[in-house]
Amino acid sequence: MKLRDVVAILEGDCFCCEPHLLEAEVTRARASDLMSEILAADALPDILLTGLCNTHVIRTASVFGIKAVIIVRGKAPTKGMIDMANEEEIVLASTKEGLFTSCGKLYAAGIRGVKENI
Amino acid sequence: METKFDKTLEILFELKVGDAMKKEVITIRPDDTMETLNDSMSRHRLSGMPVVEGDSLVGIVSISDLIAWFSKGGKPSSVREWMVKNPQCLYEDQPLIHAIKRFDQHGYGRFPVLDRESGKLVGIITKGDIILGTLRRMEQAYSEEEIRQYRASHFFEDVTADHIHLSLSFMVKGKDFDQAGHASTTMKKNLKRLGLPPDIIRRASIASYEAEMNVVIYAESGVMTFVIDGNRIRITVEDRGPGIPDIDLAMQEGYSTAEPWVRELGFGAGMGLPNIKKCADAMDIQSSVGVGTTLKIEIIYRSET
Repeated sequence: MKLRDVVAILEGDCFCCEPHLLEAEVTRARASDLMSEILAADALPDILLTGLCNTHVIRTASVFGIKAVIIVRGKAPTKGMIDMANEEEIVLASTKEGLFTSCGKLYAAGIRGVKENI
Repeated sequence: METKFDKTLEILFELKVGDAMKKEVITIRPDDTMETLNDSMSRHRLSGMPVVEGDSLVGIVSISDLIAWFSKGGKPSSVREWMVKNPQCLYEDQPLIHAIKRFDQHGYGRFPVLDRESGKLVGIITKGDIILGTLRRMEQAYSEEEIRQYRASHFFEDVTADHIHLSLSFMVKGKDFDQAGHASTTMKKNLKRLGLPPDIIRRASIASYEAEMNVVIYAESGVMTFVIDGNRIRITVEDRGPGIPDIDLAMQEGYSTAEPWVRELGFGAGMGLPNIKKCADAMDIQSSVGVGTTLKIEIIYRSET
C-alpha cells in the first residue's frame, strides 16, 4: 500500500507532505518509543509508529532510512520536527489513535512488522 | 500517479504560464478585414490570433472562424464580425498545471495571456509551448543534477595526490538536545554527495549519530571529525567530559548510566556503544576519568588494492 493509504487508515494529519513522498510503497512498520532500540536493529521498517514527540524521532528516521514517522495519541509535532522532516524528506503524520490501535489497523490492512532482534 | 512522474508534476507547478508562453504575439485589429487575417495567418503560419484594440484584448480569432467566413462566401467583412468576443484568458503568474487543466476543459488551441495587474496582453500559449517549456526545464534540471553529481561523486578520481584525506569537522555541544544529531545528518548528506554506497552511508550515519548522542548526553562538548580517504571513513569523536571508568562494562548491551531525562527522550538504553561496534569495521575507545573520551570508528567502503 502507499503511504497515502496509511495516513488515511489512521485518519492522520500530515505535517510534511511533499505529495510525491506519499506515493511511496510501504509494507513494514515498527512501533517503539525507544530510539536506541530502532537504531540497533538489523531490519529496516518503512514506517515508525511512536508516542515520542521530539526531533530525535525524525533524526532517527533519517539516519536509519525510515520513510515515515507516525506520532500516536494526537501529539502535535513541534515546528522543529516539521522543518526537519521537510528537509530530510520524511513523511510526518500524527494520529489521534493510541499505539496499539494504530498498529492493529495497519496490520489489518496488510502492513507487517519487521524482525526485532533486540 | 506513478512516482517517476512526480518531478514533472513539480515542474508543472513551479513553472508559470509566463515562463512557457510566446512573448512576441502577432495580433490583429478588430477593424482589419478578414482578407488581412487570411494573409497574416498564412504568412506567419498561425492557426489563431488575438484581436487587440488599442491596448486591450477584445477577442480571439482562429482558423475555424476563417473557414466559417469562407464557407459563407468570403464576402468583405471585418474581423470583429467573426471573432470570439471576451475570450478565455490565462494570467502570466498562473502555474502551468492550471493552464493544462484549462486546455483540457475548453479544448481550445491557444489562450491569450494577460498581466494580472494591467490586464494587458503579454503573450500567447499553446499546448506546444507547454511541452517545450517543460522539456526545457527538465533538461536544465537534469544537466544541473548531472554536474552536481559529477563534481561530488568523482571527487576522488578527479583530485590526484599520493594520499587524499578529506576531513570534515563538527563541534558538538553537550546537553543541547535540539541540535544533537546535526553533525550526523549533515555528514549523511555529504557522504551521499560524494557518491559512497548507500549501505556504507547508513552504517556510518548510525554509528556517528549514536556517538554524537553520547557526547550530547554525557559530555560538556566534543569535536567530531570525519576523514574520508578514498577507501574508508574514519570518524573520531573527542569529548571533554566525565570519561568512562570501565569501558568493558560500558560496552555491555543494556548497561547505561544515563539519567531519566535522557531515557524519556528515547535514548540511554545502553545500546549506543554496542551498536556503534556493530556498524563499524573497527572501533577503539580511550578514556580518562574526569578528562574525556576519544572514540575512533572506521568503516571501510573499498578494500585497498
